[in-house]
Amino acid sequence: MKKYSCDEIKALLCEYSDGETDAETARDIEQHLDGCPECRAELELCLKAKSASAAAVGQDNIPSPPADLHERIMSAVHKDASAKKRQAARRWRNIAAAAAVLTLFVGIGAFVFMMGPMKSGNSSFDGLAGIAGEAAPPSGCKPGEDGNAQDEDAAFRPENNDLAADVPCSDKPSASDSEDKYGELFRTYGAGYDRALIIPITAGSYDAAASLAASLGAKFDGLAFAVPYTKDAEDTVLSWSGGDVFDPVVYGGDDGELCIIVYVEK
Amino acid sequence: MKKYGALSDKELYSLTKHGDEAAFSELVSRHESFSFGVAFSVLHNSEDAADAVQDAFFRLWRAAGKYRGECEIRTWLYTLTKTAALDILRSRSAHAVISTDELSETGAEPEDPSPTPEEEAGRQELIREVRAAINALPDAQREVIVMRELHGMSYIEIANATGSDIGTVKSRLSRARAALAEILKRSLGENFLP
Repeated sequence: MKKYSCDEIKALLCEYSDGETDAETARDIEQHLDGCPECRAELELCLKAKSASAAAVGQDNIPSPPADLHERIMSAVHKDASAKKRQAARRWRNIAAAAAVLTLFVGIGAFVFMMGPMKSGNSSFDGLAGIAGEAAPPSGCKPGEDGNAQDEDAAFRPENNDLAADVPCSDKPSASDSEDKYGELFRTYGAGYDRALIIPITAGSYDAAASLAASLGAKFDGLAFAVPYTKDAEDTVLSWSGGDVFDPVVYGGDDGELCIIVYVEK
Repeated sequence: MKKYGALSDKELYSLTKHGDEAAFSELVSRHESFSFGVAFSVLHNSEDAADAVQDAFFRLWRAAGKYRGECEIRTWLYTLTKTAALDILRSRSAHAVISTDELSETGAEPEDPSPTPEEEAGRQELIREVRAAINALPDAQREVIVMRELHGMSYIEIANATGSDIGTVKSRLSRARAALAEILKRSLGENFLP
């Protein structure tokens, strides 16, 4: 137990009367007060000043909030939440429409370019055509099939499908660039998504790449954005993907080779 | 079904970040009266105070995605509410001053249900004297007295809301109360408590 002088006690009385001293200090103060009439009188004065202050600032005169205030607040909140959902849905519809146009041009252009040596049944172009026509996933996986999420993810990975084999991607940025460039995006936005569909693609512009991903994102009820692809970036994004949802921020690549990362809802 | 009542303010706000309206509703229930008190002390009008509170909570909802857990929700709400109330006040070309002059035009309700007329007059006189004494305090001391006595904020909450440290809050409260005690002793003598 600490022994305080009267001056020390008087300096603590305000805090003590507010209930802001810790239990041990409060006991020490009370011990002192028991044997010190002068400090007890000082405490009484402090309490009188507190009581007068409370009365003067109108403690008893704050009315209750209106009965419907809570409802008004939550009504505004609900409207805002609904508006955000409608905005997101509208964004995806617009992007999906652009994706259909893009895919058509990509398919035609690639067909013309590759007319001679083009492999028959090239699944990458079939996949693109399929996407343009039906917004279907890459070959090898259909959404909603029975089977665990791990199998579906494996089918989407670039190394496991022809799309990746036929369409190389830039090896920029590095994993450390990913941390800098994407870390803030990933940490800033919301939650609810945990799977990543990564589609490497060579496109003339990131708008086109984003549109294609968006059509797939819409198919899986997910969101997407375009980033330069590397295996490290894919791993980094997947490790961050647990619970994060992203606006379709378009992030342009340096030399036109872009890949899409789509987050699919759990 | 989540038990929102058992969650802390920060936990509720974390859920709000993910669009959980029910979690935010629990936050509103907990702090609606506090926020209303802050707004009313500035605006002295229930409907205007309600508008300020609605604005403050809506800003709190909108800002959920940016919350980094660095301050208490109630402290943040105090600042949002006061800002919203002062905005309304300024829009009416009123003075934005933390003052007790306009608080309680009718005076506090007497605690004694049947005071004599002399007792009631004495009490009202006391309240006027104390109010004048509080208004005579330096701004920083007056602010902490209002936050403590009117809004019931803790020392930590006052420190965070004013951008001070706790030592400064304690010092200002102590000086403010000592100054009030001296003023009251001079005006009304030793026995100045109703």
